[in-house]
Amino acid sequence: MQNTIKTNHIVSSLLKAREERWQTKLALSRHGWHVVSLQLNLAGYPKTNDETEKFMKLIDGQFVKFITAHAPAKYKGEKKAFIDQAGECIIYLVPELGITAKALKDLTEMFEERHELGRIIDLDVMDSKGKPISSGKAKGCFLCDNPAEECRKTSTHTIDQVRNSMLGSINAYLIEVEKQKLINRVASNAVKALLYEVSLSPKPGLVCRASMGAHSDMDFLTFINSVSALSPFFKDIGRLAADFKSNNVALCFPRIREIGLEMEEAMNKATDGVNTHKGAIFLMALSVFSAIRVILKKKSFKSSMFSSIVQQLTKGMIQRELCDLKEGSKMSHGEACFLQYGLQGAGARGEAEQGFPSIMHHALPFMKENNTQLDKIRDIEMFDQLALVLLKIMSVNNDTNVLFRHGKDVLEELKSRSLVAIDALNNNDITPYSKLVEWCNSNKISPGGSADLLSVSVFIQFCLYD
Amino acid sequence: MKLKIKAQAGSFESSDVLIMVEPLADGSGRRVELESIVMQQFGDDLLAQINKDLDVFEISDVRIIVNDKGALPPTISARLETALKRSAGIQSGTLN
Repeated sequence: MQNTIKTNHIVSSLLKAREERWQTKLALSRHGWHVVSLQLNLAGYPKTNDETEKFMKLIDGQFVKFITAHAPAKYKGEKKAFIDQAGECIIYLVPELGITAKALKDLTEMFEERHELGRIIDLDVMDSKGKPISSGKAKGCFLCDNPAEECRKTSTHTIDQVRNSMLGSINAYLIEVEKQKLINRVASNAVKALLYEVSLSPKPGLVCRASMGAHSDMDFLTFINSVSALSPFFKDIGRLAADFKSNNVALCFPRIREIGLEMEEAMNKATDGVNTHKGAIFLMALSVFSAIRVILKKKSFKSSMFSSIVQQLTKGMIQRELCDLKEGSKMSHGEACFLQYGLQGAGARGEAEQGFPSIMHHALPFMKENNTQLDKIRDIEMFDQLALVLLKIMSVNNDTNVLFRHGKDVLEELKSRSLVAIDALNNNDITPYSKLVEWCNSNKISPGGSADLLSVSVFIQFCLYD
Repeated sequence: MKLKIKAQAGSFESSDVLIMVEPLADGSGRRVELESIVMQQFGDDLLAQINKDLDVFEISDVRIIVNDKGALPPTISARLETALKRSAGIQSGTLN
């Protein structure tokens, strides 16, 4: 008689790993710990791959925050992680004196139940006497509503079916988490860029910390109020960009504008109807959308592709929206400006339709050349980093805010004064800059269009060095 | 196979089984204590399988405590075999 039962190599290595894991937990529990272990219920073999490792890392982070929030000061951060044939395992050691094992089990169950992939997440609790705490509840099958163990025993689904479905869900979950992180990051860059712009002081004609510039109806706080009101919408635009399936982004443009109109409404409410950011909303909405598309596709920010997406979004916009304007009808400043000055007066629309040439061909190369640093700079360094960039933009931009109110000659003078101020600043002479500030303020010249382009340049810089 | 000492194999991990084996005096018969999370549906199958495996090893006097967390039949057989061999002193184990 053959006194053995054949077991294949993979199964026996799995069984060995599980038994060792069990012994490890038992040994740990004897030192005054409740042992909480996190592993994945992944069907089939191997038990780990790149995705499961990323997933475990995420779940680990989520669970530590969960336990810290729901049982404050009970878990002291004692943790052991290892990978064996049975997969990855993280063991959390919770001092037995602070909490009962039953209370821990209730928490782990709440975590599993609340989690969208709770059926894959296996959190076990062993008390400090080495006794496993069972919930008595059967986990549902990943593919149907029956208890998972029933489906396993009766082989209702093939292992490959269950495994592929689990791996697919893990992958989709990882992608969604990445998307959300990206949206948060890019939206926060947009807000930060707008705040940096208004904080740069002093500026010619523009609202800054110490001055209302050329304006009488808005100050620094009006801008803070406006930026705060706009901030939640950048995530909406980000979500739109992240979820839009087709490559034909132009189809998305009306939807971006819809959010843009909501932003204008929020701005008006926050500022009592003062236009602090109308141009910035337009440019930054396009920028947030395009930045997210680029980063999702290329894994990092690429200026050229960014510019190209902005162009695709706004292609034909001037033809469609500005070329049919009739004199006398009710129109925005931008529209009136186009009617009077043609393409030179195309403003933000013109910049967008060409993919932000003032930024791509002037501000960004200028920043690169000057080695502009914005990463964790101190307030005292801000002027040196950004005043030159603003001047550079002012020296090339046909700012419709200026063109519309003051005409071509003033715009040209503004451009040449900006060039002079750049040269002087480069030689540590601030006088021409101060004179420019004074000239703009007293003549009520406010290069708001250039300020908007500065915001976008700063935003791009943030995205580049994220 | 001649059982000599108390031994165990397996774990309380999900889809595993923890099996404890205790030799009994000749003529005592088999005493199998079974606990399973799928007792209702599969208790009888489990019991039949364990008895079949005990036949293979020609063991008639034994106490076996089975704590099943949803193990599949090959796992149960493998764990039982290990527990028996540890009890017989022909395979080293981790019982402490």
